[in-house]
Amino acid sequence: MEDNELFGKLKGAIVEGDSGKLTLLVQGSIDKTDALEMVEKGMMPGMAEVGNKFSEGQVYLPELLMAADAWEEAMKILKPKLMASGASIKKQGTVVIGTVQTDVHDIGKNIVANLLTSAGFDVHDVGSDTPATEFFNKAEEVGADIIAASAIMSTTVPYQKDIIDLLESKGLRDKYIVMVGGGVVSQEWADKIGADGYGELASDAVDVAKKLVAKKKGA
Amino acid sequence: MSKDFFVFDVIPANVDVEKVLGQLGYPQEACLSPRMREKVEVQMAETLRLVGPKGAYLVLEGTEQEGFELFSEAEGIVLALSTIGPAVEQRARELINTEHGAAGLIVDAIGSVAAEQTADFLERKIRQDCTSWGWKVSRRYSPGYCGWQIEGQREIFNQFPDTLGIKLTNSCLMIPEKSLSFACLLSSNGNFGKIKVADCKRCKQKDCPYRLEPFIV
Repeated sequence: MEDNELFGKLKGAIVEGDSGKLTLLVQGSIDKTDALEMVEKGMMPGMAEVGNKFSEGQVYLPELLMAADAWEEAMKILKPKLMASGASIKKQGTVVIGTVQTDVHDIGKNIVANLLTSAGFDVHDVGSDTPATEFFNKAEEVGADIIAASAIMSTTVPYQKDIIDLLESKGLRDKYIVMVGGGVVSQEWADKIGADGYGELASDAVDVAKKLVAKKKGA
Repeated sequence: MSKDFFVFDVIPANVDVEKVLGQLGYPQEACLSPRMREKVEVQMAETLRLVGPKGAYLVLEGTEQEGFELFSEAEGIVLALSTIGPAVEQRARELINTEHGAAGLIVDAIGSVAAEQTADFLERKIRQDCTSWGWKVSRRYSPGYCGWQIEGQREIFNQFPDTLGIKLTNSCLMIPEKSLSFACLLSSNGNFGKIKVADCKRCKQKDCPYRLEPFIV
């Protein structure tokens, strides 16, 4: 198979969210085709197309996640090859994500983490019921661009503000983009606590993160 | 104050596929690709085996119940707890954490609908029982709805001798998460009294049965 034909098929498998097909294609080509090209010329355009279809209401969150799942499966095969060759995919940015202190809801947060990963972000998950200090320490450790905090209940959203307060107390508020999300979180709340970004749905997070990182890097 | 306690552990695990699709964001079933439809059907069959619906309710008769001042004019309050158990959310978590995010999302949606429908079943049972005892019964109302702070969960849990294995965290989160708590108000004549809420003006739930008079649309 010609490389261009392969890239088209890789893209198609991502758009269809077909993990099995994508894995077979990658396995069959891993020794013949450059791994980085497979990612950048096949899989990434596939993710972009699914993202566009989602934005246009042609597909829904489950399809978006199927594409992300397929991406992750393929990357299990591609990552060792990429590392061995010293090649690296251009990262969109680094994110520390977690659910705030006293809140153990993590399904939405995990979905956002999966979507960010498949969109090219380096994601570090600090889990659920996580104090502000742990978000901060991890962000410092990995050199994060974004701290993303999920909270689903009215009793737990105040802990999102704790993260911002902690950054301010350390004089590092401008070092990090702070994104908030979760069941009861609203744009109004995000504005009130001084968060940089908010997504109503898990699927909004990728666009918001991309825009905020681009803005920060362009600043 | 009388306090009768009723437990139901054989509640049919009934999940409406249309509601699951709605929960997943699909405006109508026709939007589903054949592959996605198959995925939903597979997960539905597997998830229904994990659903363990249970419910309980108790009746507080009399006005001015301590801890429930919001409903002080009601002649009685039915408090209810329902759950589908922990297995569905555990399965959803496992799937999402092992790169099966779509399947995990579907399982989670099935669990949410099953939890809601378990509460629906319990509400119907409450209505049936209380009606047979001569009461008019309001629609269900949960802590966290407008006017009733989420901390109201504590007052509900304090009343139950057995909480069906549902635990309440310090932040008033129920574990298993696929659990609901609610109250129905009782009245002999259909007048449940005014509920002392302050947010009706802002609330978008125009058909809320508890909406204060000046804001009824």
